[in-house]
Amino acid sequence: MKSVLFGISSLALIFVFIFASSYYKEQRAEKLGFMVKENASTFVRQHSQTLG
Amino acid sequence: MPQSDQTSNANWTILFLCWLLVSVSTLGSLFFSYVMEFAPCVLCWYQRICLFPLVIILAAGLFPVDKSVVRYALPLAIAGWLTALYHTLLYSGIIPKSIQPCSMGVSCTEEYINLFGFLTIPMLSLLSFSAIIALLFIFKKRMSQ
Repeated sequence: MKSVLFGISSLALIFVFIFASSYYKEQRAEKLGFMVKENASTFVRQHSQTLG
Repeated sequence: MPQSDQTSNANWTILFLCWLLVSVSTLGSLFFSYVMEFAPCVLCWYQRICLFPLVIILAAGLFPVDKSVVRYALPLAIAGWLTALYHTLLYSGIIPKSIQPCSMGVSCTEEYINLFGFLTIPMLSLLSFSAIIALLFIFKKRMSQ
């Protein structure tokens, strides 16, 4: 019984960590994507440099 | 259930709670550094050195319940607590920043999170180590009875 409780707790901790990690990264990607869309002009160069 | 079995179960539960707290703290620390990408400072690394082995040491002491686990876990927990206390005092400005050990690289006083206006990362570490030490002392006292 004790080893079952220990095993379930270990698995639960690992799953919570994986779920929280993916959730956080998803939220951050969404937020950064939104910021990029809002300020798209920031990423457009003023001119294209021509060499040669 | 005989009383000795109940006592034994209660002791196991205390040690298990201690292991659970250590595991949550370890995963929280890893979450801050690998997921939220907060660079750990030197003092954070010293606290991690004291915290991470406790996951294995306490787990080994659970099967079967070993009262001598306190001998190995308590020195690490106390060392971690002292480092966390120093880090908290440094962070809150009680210890001058001029004597901080992390003069190069990541600053020891960099504020990453501040929950409810007082819960910073060093404070979370201090609370965690305090609870671990308290549980280990309770376990030790019960086992010596």
